[in-house]
Amino acid sequence: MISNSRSLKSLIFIGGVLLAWSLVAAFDLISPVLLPSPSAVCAAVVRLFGSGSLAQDLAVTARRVCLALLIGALPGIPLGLIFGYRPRLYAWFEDSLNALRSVPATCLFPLLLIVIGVGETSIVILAAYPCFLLFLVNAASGARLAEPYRIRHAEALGAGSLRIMKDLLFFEALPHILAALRTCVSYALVLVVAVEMFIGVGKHGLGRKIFDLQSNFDIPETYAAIIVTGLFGVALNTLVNLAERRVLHWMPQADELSGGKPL
Amino acid sequence: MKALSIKELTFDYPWKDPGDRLRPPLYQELCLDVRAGEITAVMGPSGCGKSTLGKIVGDIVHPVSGRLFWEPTYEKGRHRVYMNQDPEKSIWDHQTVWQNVEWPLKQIGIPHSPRRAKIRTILEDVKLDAFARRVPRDLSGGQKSRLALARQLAAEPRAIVLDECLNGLDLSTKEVIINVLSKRTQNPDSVTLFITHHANEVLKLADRCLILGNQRPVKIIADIRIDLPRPRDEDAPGYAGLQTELLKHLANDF
Repeated sequence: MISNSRSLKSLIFIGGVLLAWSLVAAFDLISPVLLPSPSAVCAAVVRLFGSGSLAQDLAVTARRVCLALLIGALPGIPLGLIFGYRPRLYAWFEDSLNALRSVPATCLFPLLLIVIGVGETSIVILAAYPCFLLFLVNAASGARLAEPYRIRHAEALGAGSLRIMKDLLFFEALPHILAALRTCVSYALVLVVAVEMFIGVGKHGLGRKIFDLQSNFDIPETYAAIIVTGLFGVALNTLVNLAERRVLHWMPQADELSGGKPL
Repeated sequence: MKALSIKELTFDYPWKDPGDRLRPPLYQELCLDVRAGEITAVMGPSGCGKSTLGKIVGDIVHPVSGRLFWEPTYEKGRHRVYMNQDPEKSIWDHQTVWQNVEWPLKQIGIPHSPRRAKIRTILEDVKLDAFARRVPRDLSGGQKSRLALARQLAAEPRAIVLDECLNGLDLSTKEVIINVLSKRTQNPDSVTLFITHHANEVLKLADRCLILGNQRPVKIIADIRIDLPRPRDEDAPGYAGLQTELLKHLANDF
């Protein structure tokens, strides 16, 4: 019921914004050069997809974002679990890792260009870097919060560290890992688009596309590309939400007073 | 047969207030033998350190001085298990009821088909066979308690410490748990240390009851044999007498 009325409210709000936008365009309140009408933008979306170029840009950006997430998660999660399981080992690195997390990833790009070179790898590594740190730190804190009596019993039964991490700590840390994934998805998208935009590396990518269209003064197309990029971000987030609900179906329910939602 | 000797155990938690250093430690040079093949209950007024004694025996906390001498059969590992009073701390949320029982068996290397049979027996014993595919979040409190016990006992540990495993449970769940634990006494190697503050639970379950005092350092003020036939019946001769005795010891100390 609550979620139904919420999505209804959201739809009404979005409709209202579109209506206001149409009115502004219809009465020429703002120059169409700055704000084209919704129909012009829609037409531009259709045009861009029709020529196949936007779909290709979307695919390139999506690939970069996914690779960045993967490259961040594959070493980040296991390493985080090890650190969470062995806090005395983690103590050596924890402060440094947290400090690194505060360094804006974009700072590293010039350096990456020198070390790795201009190209696909630099973009993906740059976006993967904060993801790696986020996955690591979250997996570590999740594993550290794991119920010690559960770990103890597993150890008493002779389970090795690897088995305990795989069968127990990973799941105990999963809510934290998924929270990291949520943040990483936004981070990776922002970084990939920003880098595509300002450094003329690849010829494709949504960031590049938006920048090129704007340079050509194709304003409705620019809006169209921005909206498609935004919707791509929304789609990624929805995917994470769905995954969360599927993967965490076993999470003990929160208090019913808090709405009964597991997270 | 003796399974565990506690020799001159001294224990206290770290001091919290400056005044704490003036009071005697929780346990001072406590000596105690625990025998195999029987269920030993530890009883005492609330806050007297029953759970702490359980945690010491269960290797959760370590004595300041003194030692616990376990017979070699009870080498640290799968044969020494501690179960916390909160069943949630024993069960794994992401595993189904079936998997919760399966994991310990897999861990000790029981092959597939005998393992399936064993899981089935265990789940029947704790009356959870109809819930095998559920996850703990969909179980009631009593069912969780039974699952916790099933998980902890699946690998058949020779020694187990149970901290108030019957507290606040409905009668039928209590009965199931009492039956499962009583069966352990058929194994002459089994050591069961059971912490409670209910005389009835002691009479239903224990062969021996240790009553702890209320003053620091805590002493064992009574060591009572519960020589009643199993299954325990409230109308059995001797039951009422033992009940009076237990309650008298508890009341005297206040």
